[in-house]
Amino acid sequence: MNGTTSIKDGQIEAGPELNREKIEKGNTFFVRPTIRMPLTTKSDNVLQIDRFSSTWRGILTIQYTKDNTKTSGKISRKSINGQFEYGSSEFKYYPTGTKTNEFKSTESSYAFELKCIGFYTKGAAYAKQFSPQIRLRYSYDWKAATEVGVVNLPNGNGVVTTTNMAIDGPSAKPTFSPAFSLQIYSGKGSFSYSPTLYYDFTGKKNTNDPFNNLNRLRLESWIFFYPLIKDNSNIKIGITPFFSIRTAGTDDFNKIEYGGMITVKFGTTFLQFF
Amino acid sequence: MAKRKKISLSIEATRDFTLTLEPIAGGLTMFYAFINGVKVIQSDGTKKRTWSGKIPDAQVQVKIRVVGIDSASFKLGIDLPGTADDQSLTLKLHGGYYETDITL
Repeated sequence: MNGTTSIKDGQIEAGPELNREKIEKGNTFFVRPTIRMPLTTKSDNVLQIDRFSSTWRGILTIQYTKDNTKTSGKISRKSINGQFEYGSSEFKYYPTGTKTNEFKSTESSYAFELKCIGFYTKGAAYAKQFSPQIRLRYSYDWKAATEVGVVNLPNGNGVVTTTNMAIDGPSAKPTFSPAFSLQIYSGKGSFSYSPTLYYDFTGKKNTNDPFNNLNRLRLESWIFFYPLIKDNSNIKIGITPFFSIRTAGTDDFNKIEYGGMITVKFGTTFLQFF
Repeated sequence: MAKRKKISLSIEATRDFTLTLEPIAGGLTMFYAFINGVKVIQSDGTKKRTWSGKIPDAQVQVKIRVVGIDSASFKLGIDLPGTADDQSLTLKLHGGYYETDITL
């Protein structure tokens, strides 16, 4: 049994990890229940838990891996990963447009995720490496309403200002997001390639059914560069164009959206994508 | 964390042995280590991996296989107290792969 802790994007995540391994047979299994909470003081990485701590998320992860690699010949492994998330968040909003008239609501969000990841290579110099990856995710996530500017009364000098605040209460949309990605390394050079396809089904507000509303298809084609920096292994620098097309329903975006993305990932390998 | 596994490497396993594989630079995808054909390390290359246990007095074959990107480098550590204390080698992949056989 091990422990796991991480701080990412202003959130701290911690919990035990229970392992059961039969490495000689290529089997590994773990269960990792963790809790994720926002840091109280981000600059000092401090989490304070008290009666005001109303936002949290519990995550249960289970993973099984079967690795068939022997002393010689091809290298192959498959893993299946299931994750369940459940959390509670408090939202504040001001329907009358004044900070003195504050409304609060606490809502529960949840998500299920299933990932299957394979890895195949000949186990030889300059051999191609492949990692097909599938992810299925359903989420019912509450989000705060977009803040709008509320006009304040003029001050003594007649200056009119605005204050940004959420007028509407939070809302949740169910989303089902299947995705497929193929990680490819040609066996030569410091680059790998990851063509990726997402198809997002987004349901109507405050319903559980993600189908029969908005659908979007998204294509990405990542190129990752692995720099050779001593004592800083497993750094990936990625860049991709993206292309997103609305295939059903309506949303606030254009029918066809496109652009690019850049990322830098630390402590991650060719296999980690979703 | 060092792992001590009760696997049958031979009838009389009496010598203490520690094997480590540690990423140094570049993309290290998988580390594998086998002792007399028995897999003892099977982990991604994100951090230092260690196996500690007892090996037989008789000749022992250690096989290392590492998969990664291009010429990524890693450190192979061998600790056989009384014979070869804390020996380490920094090795480079060749075309995204490295393998070696060591006889102890």
